[in-house]
Amino acid sequence: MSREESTEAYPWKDIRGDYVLVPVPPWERRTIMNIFLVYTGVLSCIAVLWVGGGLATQGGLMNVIYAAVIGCIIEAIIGALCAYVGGSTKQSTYGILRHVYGWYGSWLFGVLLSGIPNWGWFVYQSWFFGVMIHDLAPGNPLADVPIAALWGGLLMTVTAYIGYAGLAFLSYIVVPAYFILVTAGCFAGVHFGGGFEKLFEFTPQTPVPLTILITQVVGSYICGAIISSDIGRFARKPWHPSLAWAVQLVVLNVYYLVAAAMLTIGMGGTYFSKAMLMAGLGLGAYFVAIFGQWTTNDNNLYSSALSWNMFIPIKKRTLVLILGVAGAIYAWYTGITAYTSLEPFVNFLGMLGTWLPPIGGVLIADFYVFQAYKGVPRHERYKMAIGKEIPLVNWVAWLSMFIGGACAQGWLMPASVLAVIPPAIVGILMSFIVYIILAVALDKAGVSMYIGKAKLNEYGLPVKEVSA
Amino acid sequence: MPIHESAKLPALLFTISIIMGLIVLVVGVTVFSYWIYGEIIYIIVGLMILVFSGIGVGRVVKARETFKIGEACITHGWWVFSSGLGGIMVYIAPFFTKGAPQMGVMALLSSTIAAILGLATVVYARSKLKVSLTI
Repeated sequence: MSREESTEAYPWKDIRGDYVLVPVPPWERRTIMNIFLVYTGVLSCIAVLWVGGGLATQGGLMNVIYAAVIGCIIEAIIGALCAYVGGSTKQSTYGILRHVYGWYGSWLFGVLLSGIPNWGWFVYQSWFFGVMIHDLAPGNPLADVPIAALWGGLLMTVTAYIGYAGLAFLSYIVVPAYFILVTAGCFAGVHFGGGFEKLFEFTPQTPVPLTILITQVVGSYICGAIISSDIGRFARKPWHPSLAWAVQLVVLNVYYLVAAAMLTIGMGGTYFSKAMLMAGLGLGAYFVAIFGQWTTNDNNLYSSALSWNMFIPIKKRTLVLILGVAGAIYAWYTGITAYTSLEPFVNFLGMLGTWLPPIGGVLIADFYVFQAYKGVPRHERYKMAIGKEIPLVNWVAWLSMFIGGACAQGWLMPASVLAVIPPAIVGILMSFIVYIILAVALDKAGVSMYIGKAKLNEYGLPVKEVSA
Repeated sequence: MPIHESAKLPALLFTISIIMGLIVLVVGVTVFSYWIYGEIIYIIVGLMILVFSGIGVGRVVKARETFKIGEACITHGWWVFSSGLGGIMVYIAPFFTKGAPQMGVMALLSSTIAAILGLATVVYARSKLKVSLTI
């Protein structure tokens, strides 16, 4: 559909580009296949193989399968709920957070949820890229870890700079081929490691409980689940991104995790590049290393820039360029200092899994429960309109999020509970429950949850404070 | 109901891709007994090309608007191209063609043709039907 063919009124002016502050217009909306491929492009990376490999060394193959299935179902449910909000409102996660946490809340929680972590992911995956390229061509000066991390980071900035079309274009080309190559690499690894018989005989030296493995699966991608609206907003129908998200998680993520676990058990480590090179898949190994990281990392940078752009008043492309170049330089520095150490990555994962999920818990509670309690029809929830009032701060949402995070951290929750229920889930559930209880109780008591309100102008910016 | 004029070429290209997918699939079944690792990859690639092209044919033949035809061409054209590309990268590796190199060559050729046809479908949709490369 072209702009001229569209019959839907679109009064918004997109001053920052890529619809950072305003809803995605009808002529920019994409098919469910497109959304599915972009989601899958994010998923298809080396990091997911490392997660699968890490699980295998702690739990054995059967436990990895259980953990992957249960963890991915949890992620699929959370991500589908969040993606629906984006598909329905046509706004990015940070645009949606304006309605939940208030205008200033969208700054703070957007940056906490995506601005910093996704930029961090961008840096670390650029560094990973350097490590992979170094493994593939150790003698080449361009494959030195810091150098490869630098040019890899800059390469990934290109598609993020183009915007959603750039992300989608790369995903179309890469995703099916990546799936084939990962399968080929894993089978090669299993063969060189001693065959299928060895896989089920393997028992880890110090096995960890299944709940810990599930936590790791959930924690590895929970941030992606909560920001699924960044891509889902481009969908034509509200349920499209939910379905696309759930399918890629339950089918492909489970597959990647289990395949990586098989490779790791077979070869005694996640030697993916090694297995591919041993099988003569040199070209494929380069393809996986370069494009696997690229389709994921450009999305990291894209989402990070979206969240910062809520309050940094420059064009989105300029911001992507600044963040991308800064990230590539930091990746280069990481290559010099940490070299092949994986410790920063593991620490980073742990932090994500604890404090970020409650942000989504409050979002889900407000959209699905509190708005329904207030009698707002689903398609009208968070709908943008010029002159519509949005809160500057929703203090109940802020408080609920911090309580959820504190529970997940173990400050307000017994360790025995966290040993059974993954902390990421505890955080989401607690923030969800606390928000509903407080919001409904305060509403019945006639106490406002909001501190200040402002009206939106045609640029999607608040212009006039209505009341203190 | 007659097929839309704009759908004739993509339908033909997808149909040839289906045949290529079938060839890879048959190769996979043939090598089944003596090289399990190669066989699984042959079957996966063959099925992917077959399914993506098959659904592509169905969609372009059913479509009545140029935009819908272009949409199907872009989506399935890219998928077939990428699946073929994956096949090419796998079948040049001796590990997967062990024991039956002639079969490997056949699969490599079929994947290459499928990739070229997928790309041709995308180019056709972009140049003739004027749809975006990422619909």
